[in-house]
Amino acid sequence: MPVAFTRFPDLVKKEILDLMNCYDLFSFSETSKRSRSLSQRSAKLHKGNMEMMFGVLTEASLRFPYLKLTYSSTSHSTHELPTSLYLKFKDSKFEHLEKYLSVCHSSLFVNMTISMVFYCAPPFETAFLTLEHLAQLGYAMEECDIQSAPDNEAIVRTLMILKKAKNLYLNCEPTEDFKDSFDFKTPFTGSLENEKLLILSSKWVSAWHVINVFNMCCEITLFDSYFEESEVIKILKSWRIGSSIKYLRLAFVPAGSNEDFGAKMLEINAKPVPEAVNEDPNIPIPPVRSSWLLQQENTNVQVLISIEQPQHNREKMFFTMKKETKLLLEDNIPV
Amino acid sequence: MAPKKNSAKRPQPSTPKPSAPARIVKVQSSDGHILQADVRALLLSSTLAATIKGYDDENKPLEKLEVNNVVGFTLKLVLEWCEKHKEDDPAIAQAEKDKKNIFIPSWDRHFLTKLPMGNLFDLITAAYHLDITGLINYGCKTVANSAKGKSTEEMRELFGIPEPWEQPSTSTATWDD
Repeated sequence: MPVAFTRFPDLVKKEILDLMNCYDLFSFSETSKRSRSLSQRSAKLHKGNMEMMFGVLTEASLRFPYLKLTYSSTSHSTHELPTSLYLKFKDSKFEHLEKYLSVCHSSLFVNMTISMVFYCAPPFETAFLTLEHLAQLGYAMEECDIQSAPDNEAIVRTLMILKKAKNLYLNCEPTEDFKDSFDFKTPFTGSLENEKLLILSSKWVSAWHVINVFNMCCEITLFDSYFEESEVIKILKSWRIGSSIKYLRLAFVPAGSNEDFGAKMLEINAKPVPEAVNEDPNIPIPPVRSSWLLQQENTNVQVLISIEQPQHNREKMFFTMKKETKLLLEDNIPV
Repeated sequence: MAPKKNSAKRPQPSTPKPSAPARIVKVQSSDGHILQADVRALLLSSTLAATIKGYDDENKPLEKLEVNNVVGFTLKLVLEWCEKHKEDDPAIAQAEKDKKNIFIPSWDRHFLTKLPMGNLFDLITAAYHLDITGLINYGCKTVANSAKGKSTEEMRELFGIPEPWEQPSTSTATWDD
């Protein structure tokens, strides 16, 4: 025998709906227009975040992709919900994913957010199918960590699909013959918008990419990169005109001495400044290194540029451009 | 077998009340059934507590309380629940309600889930009319739990909601009016 829900006194109805978990409340709201209207107030009380994590389980020699959903509520007792839910991959998609996503995506739950953490190692095609599906739904991707065997297409595909991910860590090498066999420019059809972009194998990245593809990112770290010095100057000239980059770290092959590099900095109006390298308050006069302050045209944004030679490699220089700086007062500059 | 004690999860009163001799009164339902109850149990109902206080303030002998909006069968269930909880501190139930963090102790879970849905509905409605916060909390939570994991179709069935094509199409009329 059913409970005639709407015959309950109003306060009892509210109480019952307030006590439902978000998934059940969503199902109830779908039963009728009136139910949806009744659910609105209770839905607003739900505050929290749904985190999705893609990963791959390895059992014996087999690999199984999985999607883990974790809902953390700041408004309701968490024991009510399955804290971790594993969805199975079947017929090129994760079972019941739509159901769980539709709850968070519903306009009823205005105080619920959804974010994704993507840890992916092969099988890569499964990851792409999932990524493309989730990216199309427009949910915020918080942290994406993608790993793959050398694959040029996978690099481009990952960066383009995850161009709106907040933090993106890409660990995928290009193939050995990438310079002759793959066009790394044409497939990039727009700028990335990542807050943090970290590429572990950046041999394929050129000044063109930093200027045209990464220019909307905030923090960029390019490990294992090989830039020419002229490319670094080109990047800085372009940055001065307009760019969102606040941090950039890469390696380049110097064309001459440090003084030669300094002269080029002066040419682009980058003012030489002493930068405190060690911020230890116990050291009265912290060590300094030569750096240059570059200001963006038409904005007040300033970045500090510095170069340093790695101990293990005399042929390359590390280049760092950063917004947060610790400049020394003139009194503290060692003579 | 002795009844199980309430779950340890439920917060217990910090200072147990000293047990006083039971003061039994008669309670009459809307359909004329007369039941007997300990006054301490009846005090869980804010509505009945106000009535009892009125009698006490005027020093009038309390022989029979009339509960006009609850039938005998449901009133018996209400009194059974109140008897079980007569030692509870009402402040705890209020705090649970405010926090939306309700754990149903095992005795109450058994008591409420064994009821057919229709009786549960009557019990919650009676608890609402008598203003018994703890019983409203557990009753509502039981109903919310009964909806757990159900699809939209199953919800319709559980809550007696007709299919969309059976519902009135005008904006003012509803399927329950």
